Amino acid sequence: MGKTFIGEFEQMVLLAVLKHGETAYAVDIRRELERLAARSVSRGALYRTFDRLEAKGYLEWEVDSGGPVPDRGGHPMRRFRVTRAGIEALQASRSALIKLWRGLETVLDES
Amino acid sequence: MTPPPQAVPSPPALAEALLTRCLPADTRGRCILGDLRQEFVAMCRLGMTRLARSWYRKQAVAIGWRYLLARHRPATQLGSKQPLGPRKRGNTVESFYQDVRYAVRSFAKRPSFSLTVIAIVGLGVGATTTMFSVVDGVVLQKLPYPNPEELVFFGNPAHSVPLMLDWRDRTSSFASIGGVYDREADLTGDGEPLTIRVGMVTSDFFSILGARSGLGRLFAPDDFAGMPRAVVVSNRMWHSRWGGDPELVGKTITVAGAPLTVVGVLAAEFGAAATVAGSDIDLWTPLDISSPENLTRGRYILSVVARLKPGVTRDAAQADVTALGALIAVEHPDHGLRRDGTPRRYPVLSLQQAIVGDTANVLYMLLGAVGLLLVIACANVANLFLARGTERQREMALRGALGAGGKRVLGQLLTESVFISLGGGLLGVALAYGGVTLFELYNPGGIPRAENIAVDFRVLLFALGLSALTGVLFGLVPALQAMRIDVADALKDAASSVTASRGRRGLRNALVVSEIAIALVLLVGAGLLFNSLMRLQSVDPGFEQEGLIAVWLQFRPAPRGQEPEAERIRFTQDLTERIAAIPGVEQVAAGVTIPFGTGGRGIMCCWLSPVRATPEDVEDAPDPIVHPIRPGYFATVGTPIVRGREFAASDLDSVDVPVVINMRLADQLFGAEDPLGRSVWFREQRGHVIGVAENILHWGLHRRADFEMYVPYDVMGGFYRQVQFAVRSRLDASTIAPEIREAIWALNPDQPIQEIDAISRIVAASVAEPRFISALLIAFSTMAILLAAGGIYGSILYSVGQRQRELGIRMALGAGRVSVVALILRQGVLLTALGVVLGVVGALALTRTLESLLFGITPSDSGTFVAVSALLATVALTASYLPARKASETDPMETLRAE
Repeated sequence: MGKTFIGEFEQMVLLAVLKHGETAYAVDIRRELERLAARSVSRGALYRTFDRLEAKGYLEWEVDSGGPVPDRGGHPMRRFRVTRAGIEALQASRSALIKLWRGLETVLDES
Repeated sequence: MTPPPQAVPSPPALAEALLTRCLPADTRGRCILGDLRQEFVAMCRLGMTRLARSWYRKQAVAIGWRYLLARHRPATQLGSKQPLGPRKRGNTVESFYQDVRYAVRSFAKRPSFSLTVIAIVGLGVGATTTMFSVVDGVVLQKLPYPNPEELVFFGNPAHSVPLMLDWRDRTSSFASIGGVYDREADLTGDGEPLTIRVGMVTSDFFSILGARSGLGRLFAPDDFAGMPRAVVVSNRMWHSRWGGDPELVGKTITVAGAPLTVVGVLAAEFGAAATVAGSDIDLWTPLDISSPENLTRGRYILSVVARLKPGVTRDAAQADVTALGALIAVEHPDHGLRRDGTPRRYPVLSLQQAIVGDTANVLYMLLGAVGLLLVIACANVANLFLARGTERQREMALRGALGAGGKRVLGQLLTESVFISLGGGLLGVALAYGGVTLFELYNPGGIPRAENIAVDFRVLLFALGLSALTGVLFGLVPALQAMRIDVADALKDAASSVTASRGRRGLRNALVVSEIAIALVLLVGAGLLFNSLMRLQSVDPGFEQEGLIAVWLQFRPAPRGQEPEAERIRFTQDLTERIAAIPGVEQVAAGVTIPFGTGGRGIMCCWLSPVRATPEDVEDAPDPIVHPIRPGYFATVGTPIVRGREFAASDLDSVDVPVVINMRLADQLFGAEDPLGRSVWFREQRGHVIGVAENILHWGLHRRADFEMYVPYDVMGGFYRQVQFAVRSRLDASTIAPEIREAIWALNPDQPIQEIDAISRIVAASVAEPRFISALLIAFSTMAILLAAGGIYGSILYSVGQRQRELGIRMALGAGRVSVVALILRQGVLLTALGVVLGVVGALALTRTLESLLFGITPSDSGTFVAVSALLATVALTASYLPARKASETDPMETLRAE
């Protein structure tokens, strides 16, 4: 495969984007992450993660065509989408983790 | 009803602008700005505007910082934590940030090391910054006039009005030229009579210096014709005499007995210009340059300043003036030629140079001295870093093994040293604030422009640059050392107990040697100045200064046609009696001058007149200073009469003038013969010698006694415009001064008083400047010697630590304590000896710059050299003995067991 594993935060970001489907805006993704992970997420880290995922080819975005929102001071808004490669990377990561988990249920099971 | 349309709130403008600069300038960046603004507006809508603004600022910093760091690198590399390993080109910011964090951590781990370094650097930077603020304020900063580089001053104290007009009309270098005639006058009526300085100026003087009026106006062209009628008051005088009275303009004041109308007050910032004219000027009046009296070529009254035409250099102006000088010498040989027949020279100086004068050299010398101190501090700290470098060898080797290149390690070590030295710089700036305050407090007053000395922005910039440079200096050597470590060697366990590499030890020793050498140079300088100060202070002035009070009066010039002599003599006689009657006064005597009566400000009285022991003319007759004095003068000032007696009241009746001569004159005129009863001829008169007095140093301790002759005041003193009284009293000058003033004003309510002061204070003030300079140098060299001692102590201590095992084996094999101490001391002795030798060589080369400051001692005075070398050697050897003794006291078995 030749691809590196993706980090935990990167995985979480990709999953949050997927969850929002067609309306994955940065502000909402951050809120979703905070809700799921139950901790505050730094915007700086989030934006840099977007950039990194984009550079790795896992994430892409387009400018929302709904026209400028007045509250944004005329600035455009991005809508994110996970690419094919991104989904593959998530899958690879997931299956690798599942293989590793196998047989450890008794040790790690929380219940 | 629809709610009124709400204005959309805007985020803090500065934060948004900064963030915009940090973010990429594409859609991505604008989207992020939009996201933030959206959230900001949402918070505002909830009524949390203030919170929202501070939130926005925080976010802007947090996000902006990340993008700023990442600016030069592709996103794929971000977040992967890099060790201090190989580094790609371009990510300087990120790695610098890492280096800084590393530096902070590594110093927090060793607070005592860091604090020592900060203290040493702080001391060096503090002292250097203090002296720099002085040099900057006095020498480097431009004069407070418009385009000061165009201003020039004509050297030689004074010039005549026609000469100034020649320069104005017959040269092409000057845009304008003006002069000031600085003189004393009495301000009377309306309060206590006062002697003030009046500057009589030509019409261009004020405009050349860009003077402005703060109140009223300056002079108009009409004011310059005829006798002065208008007066401009200095801002200082306006406040001190008239309490800043806004109604002063238009009033009439009496100066030198003449009524003048105040037309204006100078603006507060003008004033330093007066330094050109010799001292601060209180009042300004117009000078009529067309009056026949002022057009006399022999009347040298003006200090002349000029503004160069744009583009004309000072050298060109000088050539212009010199060429004209040759013409003037032909036209007016009486005034244009020197005694040797060559044309008189008129140096065209920059105004700055004219004002600052020789002080610049002294200040640069002091700055050089603190510079040396700073070098010692650097060497000291470099040594500390080297010692620590040895301990960190393995850490550096480990990094090298992990792939950190030489440049990377160098960068990190330099960041560490610059970082810590900036800490020292901070301390240094704090010390400089204190230092400048102390300097102002103890400044003896001989420094021009001292009011300019301050720790300002330029000085802070200097301190910053200096500490960064210091950090590079003391960091570079150990860092370069670290780069040369053999990775494999250092990583082997055995490496840590091997003695430091030969190169490293050599470097450490070189640093110690140079510290000792430089400390010796400073110590020699301080020693020479101290020695010469001691000699100056132990000079016997020829009179008893303790308990003697000087009173100095100046008489108003007599109106034309009147003979003031008799009145002045009567006044002096009466005042002598009145002062003698004041309780607490033991003795009082008067004369035109008393010793140090003019505040040690040079000769300001009397006449010089060739005196002969024969009636015929002699070639090389001595030119004594002739002092008119009253009876009781020598008894009051406490000068022994070695032969004969001093004046008595009865002497006034004799036909010949009775004279007392000093020993130097007696030797010159009569050699071994007895001068008593002999006749002397001076001017058209014959005197007979009634006594020989001890030599008195009237004008300053550093001068050789002059030829002096004393004549009776009551016969020959009335001609002089000044009189001085020596009052001997057990009371303080300040206690008795009010009663003396009352006695003076009881005789003449309009009599101004120049000075009433203790003579011992005046004598002390005359040596205040040499004392100040030598105190500074002693302070610097004390610091230097302590730093050098610390350096050698640390160095020996360290090498003892390194050789512990070797010493342990030696002692186990039976080496005694003494031989161990001797072994270690040998190193100290070698370093000290080498340092002292180099220091002596350096001092011989450098102390010549002190020559003009020395009194009664040469710059290569062997006594001083031997004494300070011995002192420094003693301190250095003590500093190396302490660790040696410590080494000899350790138990050898313990050392060996520890291995």
